[in-house]
Order: sequence, then structure tokens, then C-alpha cells
Amino acid sequence: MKEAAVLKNSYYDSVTLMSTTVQIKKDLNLDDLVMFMGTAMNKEMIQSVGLYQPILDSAQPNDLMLAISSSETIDDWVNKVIERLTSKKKKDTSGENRRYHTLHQAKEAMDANIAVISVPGIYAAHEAYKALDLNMHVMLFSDNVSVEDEIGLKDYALKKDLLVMGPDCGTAIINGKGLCFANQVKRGSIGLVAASGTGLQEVTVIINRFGGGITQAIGVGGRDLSEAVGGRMMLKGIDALDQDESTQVIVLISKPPHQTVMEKMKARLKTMTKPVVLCLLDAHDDEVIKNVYPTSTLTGAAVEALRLMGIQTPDLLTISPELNQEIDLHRKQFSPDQKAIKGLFCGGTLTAEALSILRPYTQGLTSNVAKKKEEKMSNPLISKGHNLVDLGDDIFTQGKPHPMIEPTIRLSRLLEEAKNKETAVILLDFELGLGSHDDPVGVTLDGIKEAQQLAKKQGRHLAFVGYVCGTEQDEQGLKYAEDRLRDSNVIVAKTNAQAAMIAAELIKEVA
Amino acid sequence: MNPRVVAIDSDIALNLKVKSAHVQGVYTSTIHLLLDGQLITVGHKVGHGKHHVVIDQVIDFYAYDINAGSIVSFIDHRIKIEKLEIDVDESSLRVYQPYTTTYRFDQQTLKTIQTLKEMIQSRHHHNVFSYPKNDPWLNYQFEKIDIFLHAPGLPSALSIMGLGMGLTPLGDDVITGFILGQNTVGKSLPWIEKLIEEAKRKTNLLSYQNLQDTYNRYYPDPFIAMIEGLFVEHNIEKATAILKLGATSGAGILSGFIYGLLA
Repeated sequence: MKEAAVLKNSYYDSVTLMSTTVQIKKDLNLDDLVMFMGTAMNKEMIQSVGLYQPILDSAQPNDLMLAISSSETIDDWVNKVIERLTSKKKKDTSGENRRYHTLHQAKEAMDANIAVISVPGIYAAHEAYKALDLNMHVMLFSDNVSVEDEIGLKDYALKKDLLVMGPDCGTAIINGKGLCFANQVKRGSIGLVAASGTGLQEVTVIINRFGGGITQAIGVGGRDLSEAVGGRMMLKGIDALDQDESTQVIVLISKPPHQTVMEKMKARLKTMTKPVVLCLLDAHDDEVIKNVYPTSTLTGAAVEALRLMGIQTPDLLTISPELNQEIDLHRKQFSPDQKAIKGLFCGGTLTAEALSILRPYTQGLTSNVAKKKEEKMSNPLISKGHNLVDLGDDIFTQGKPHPMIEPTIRLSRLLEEAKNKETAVILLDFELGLGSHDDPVGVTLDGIKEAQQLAKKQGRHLAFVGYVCGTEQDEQGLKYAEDRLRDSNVIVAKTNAQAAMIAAELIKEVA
Repeated sequence: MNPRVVAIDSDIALNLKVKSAHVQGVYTSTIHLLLDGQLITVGHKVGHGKHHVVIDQVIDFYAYDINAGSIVSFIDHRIKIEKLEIDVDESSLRVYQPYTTTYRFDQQTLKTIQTLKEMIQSRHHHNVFSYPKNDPWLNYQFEKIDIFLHAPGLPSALSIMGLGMGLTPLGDDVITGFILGQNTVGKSLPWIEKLIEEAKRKTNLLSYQNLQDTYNRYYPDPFIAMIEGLFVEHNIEKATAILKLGATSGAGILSGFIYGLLA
């Protein structure tokens, strides 16, 4: 069926329209859906693809035109589309999730001591200053805040003995409450400070899985350890956890800090009495500091923190004989051209960790998160050789939600990689927890199946390796997510680092 | 404590007092008022400009349950829209003037513009320089836009006016950028005035208002910051704020701007 409708004087911004189109098409099983303003040029465009219906003649430039095509009849489709569009608009204003219009109102009503700020970058610093003036700690989710503003905010916060977590800080767990993207983890004795969102999530979920718990997980924003910002909040976070009586072990996570910041951190660590696990992905420093335990992977950081708490864990990186058999079965089905690993990640630090692990096992590995010039993807939109792509990169998210919120933006790339003759392994991460999509695995399964069939038709076999970063207590459910991946012939890894090891093993004899 | 107006054009304030305005559309962070045929955007996250009323707080306008068509009144230093009240004091009144400064190209500026073009290509997935060719909708739009940019004229401009998704269709964004580019280097093609007249019936009100303001050089401050960044400071940092606008708007404006400068 092909049908159309006109919504008089209806406006939706392009971000809403783009982000809901994919979901509405899937929910209503539509072959095509267009939602454009009723201008003459848009009418022509709809005509050109054969979706135009006479009812659209009445549309004016301030009206929204809807047109669909579907192989089946869909009752009441217009209302179903409107319902989904408006659900993006309407927010919960009832009960305990009360809405306040200003920081002052929220502070007065509930005596809040943390403000989470998520407004466009150019306005974010202004809001953050207001929160600091009200003696609130700040979690600054916004990006595009200038370095000068970041330094100013952090200096002002330090004077007031407050934290500024961010800008561009995606994850924190404060007094047991997850903020922005965070998993449901038990409270305990391990405190973390991280300049990395998914890095913090990965370490906390592994700690949780083996019975450990978290005191505080403080995010500082990806730029905190740069030369300009000087690790202001990393050092403040270390001080806070050092003074916190509940914290017995401290974990610090980051990509390599600037050397000047590294020196400051080392100077501070030398004065610590509590044990510190130091996970600086891709950093090399041979200096031995008493009570400091360096690790090179997020998995290693969690394992080391647990060990220091007296909790032993099984080997989370080594590939068991059973898993080796499964890998072997996949490997035997590859055609001679299939040699490449294609990592399609939602988590930036998980991409960086996979890069550091896969580097020794692959040649010509590139990524859009790589710092080394020779490893940098010249164009993240073009797939060639071994690639690890962080789909949260600005180039993919302009005007769209982050893939942790809307993982369907990964599907078209997944199918592209499936068509590529060199692709042997597709490596995927799935983040559960607060802030993430309701069912990141569920919305990807059809894409995995389609990719597998597509390759099969062309006489190739694709190996999928998946890792689910989450806990059983997360709303999406870890086991439910992992089981469905296994049912779809995806090799499910215990950790992100192990997923990379499995990918390396899969191409060991073919690369 | 009511939200407070930070900046409002004095003519608009006067018009609001003496003429009746009504709500044209409500969004999460902005509300649009129709006043004497002009569209006024009210919000915290809007640049300062002739038809923008900037307020001091982020407000979720949906939470106020305001309907399109509601009457807007401005009495005793207070704008009232149903339950929403916004305080206005004298210090917020501004007199916005057209931005008449024009600039000349030199070698350094050309290099900066080239860097800007590279930035659009590398940081935006859907732009006129590179886009997924397998998407029929994007293909349709960008083919027409490509024709306009390489052969700018009234017919090719009209063929993209109102073309695209959202509040400011991509075609209009490209035209806005193009006019901005032309204005910046002190040029004006004779058909642009006619194009603006046509915009009144060929596109939606918000987009028409933006086009008209751009043509009349009443720019929001991010536009001015970008122009001065490119031509005075020779850096593209200020243009990144434009690139972040909407799903495709920012890239559309910047692409049009580059071609407008060089046309």
C-alpha cells in the first residue's frame, strides 16, 4: 500500500524527524516513510520516488507531509506515526520526576548538590558557573566547551572544594546513583576516577560481576589530562577518594596523559597510602611506584582492583579450548579473500582498548580513535583493511543521537562491511544501563542476520564477535542480551579485551 | 522567580506591546511567536539577533502546555503566554543594526576557506562535498543543490527552496549561506531580491524569516562571529558552532557560504 497524510501546521525539527524515521519504519514494518514540510520542492521530491498521493496537494509550507509505502495494510498508521513523533516531544511531568525550569528552582526544592548539565556547548559554561555559585558539583555532559572555559570552571570549582566532571563527561556513579550513561552496580570499596566514559563502565561492570562494589566513580572529561587543563579534576578526584574512608582501592583510567600531567599524577601517587590501579591505555612508563599497580587493559584494571580487595577472578583474557573450537569452526568457513577485522563500536574507549590489543596481531590496523599518525583512518566513512571505528565520532553523530542511544545508526555500516569481500570478522560492542538504548541487542539482531545471509549468498562466511557491557541489574538484562546474540551465531566475549583477542584469533591463520 | 529576557530588539518590544502576537509553534527549547507577519524565536539557546528574544534560562516550553495560536501579551514589563511569564527590563532592550562590514579576499583568507571546506567534509556526514550516494533522498536533494551552487540563479535557487526535512529545509540553509557569503564580500546578485519575495510562499515561516534577515544583513551573533573569525582571525573555530546546527542545517549554511563567497 502507498498512502499519505497532511498534518496541518505541524513542525518537527530535523533531528527529531531523522532520529525517529528509522524506528517508525521498523515498528510499523514500512518499506519507506517520508516526513517533509509541504513545500512545492518537497512535493516534487516525493513524486520523484513514486510516493506522492493526491491528498498531498493540499499541503502548505507550514504543514508536515507524511507518505508511506508498505507491503501490508496498516490500520490507523497516521496516528501511530504521530504517537511516536510526539512521544519524543512529551516528557514526564508527573510524580517524583518533577521538572524544574531553572537550577535555582531545583536547588531550592530538593537541596540538590550535583547539577548535570547537558545544553549546547556555547551555553554550558554559563550554566555550570551558575551551579557552582549554588555550591553544587557539576557533571558537564555537554561537549564543545572551550578549553579556557574548562580551566576557568575547574579553577573556580577547586576554590570552592567542588568537582567539575567534564566537559564531555558521559559517565559517573556518585553515592550509588548513576549519572548519564552508567550501569547498575553494587556499592563497595573500590573508587574510580576516569577520563573515559565507556572505560569507566567497563571496569565497574567487571568489578560488579565478580562481587566487588563501587564507592564513587568520578568522570573528569576526556580533556582533563591534556597539558592545558593539567589534570585538575583527576588530581582532585584522587584527593577525594584518598580522603574517603569507604574507599579502600582506587582505580584511575585514561588514555595517555600529557607528560607534564603524568609527572603531577606520579608525584601525587607517591604520597598515597591506599593501593592504586593505574590503567593508562597505550601509555608506557617503567617507573615503579610503591602501592601503584599499572595495567594495560580495562579488564586488567578491574581484575587487579578485585585482587587487591581479596577477590580472585577467572582468567578473562585467555581463550578456553571450547572457545577455540568455536573459533575454529568459523575460521574454516572463511574464503581466501576474507582477512580483515571490522570493529564497529559505540564506545570510544572500548575502541581504543581493542586497538591497543589488536595492534600486535594485525598489519595496517587503522582506527578513527588512533593517536599515531600511521594508525589514523584517513576517512572513517571508508572501510579498508583492519578497521576499528568509533561510531560515536562527530562525523557519524552530526544531528543524530549517539549510537549508545540509537544503535540502529550502526546497521547501514554493518551491511556495508558484510558486502565487503575482505571482511572476515565483525566486532561489535553493546552498552546496557542508564542512558543507553532500551534494547541495543534487539535492534541489531535483524541487521546481523541480514549481513550473515548477504555474505552467504556470495559464498562467504562472516564471524561476529560481540561484547555486552552491562550487568544483570541493568534494565536491559545482561543474560537476555547475551543469549540472543549466541542464538544468532555471535561469539560472545566476557570482556571487551577478550572480544579483541577472539577477533585476533579468528584471523590468525588467514591474515 | 520568572525567567528574564536578556536581549530583545527595541522595535520588536514596542510592537509586542501595541500589536497582538500569537504563538506559532512550540519546541523543547524555543517558542515561536508570530508578530505582525514576522516570526520571533524565543529561547535561551538562540543567538542574539533582530528576531530573537534571548532569555536567561533553559526552559522546556513543552512543560508549560502552550498551544499554537495562544495570545501573547506584553504588559507592565512582563510577557505572558498562557501560564508562562517572562520578565523584561529596560536593560534588555537592544537596537540591532544590519551588519554592513564587507571583507576582501587575500591568500590567507583563501587558505582559511579551504580549511573550512575540509572541516565540513571531515566532520559532517551529509554535506554537499560528500554524502552517501546510495540514499535516494539525499541524492535527490544534493543533486539539485549541486546544480544551484555551480550555476546560481533564480531558477536553480527556486528549485531548492523549501527542499528538505525539518524546520529550515536543507535547500533554504544552502541559500541562506550563499546570501551570507555574497553579503560578506560585498556582492549582490540581482535575482536574490526576487528570491526572497518568493520565499514567503515557497517555504515555511521560520525559514522565510531567516532568509529575509540574512538578506537584510540582520545576522544572529554566531554568523558574525564566524565571519570575523574567518576574515579577521583567519581561523575556523567559530564556524564549528554553525556546523552543529540541526541535522543538516549547519553543513548546508557553511557549504552555501563558501560558494556565495566565491560566486
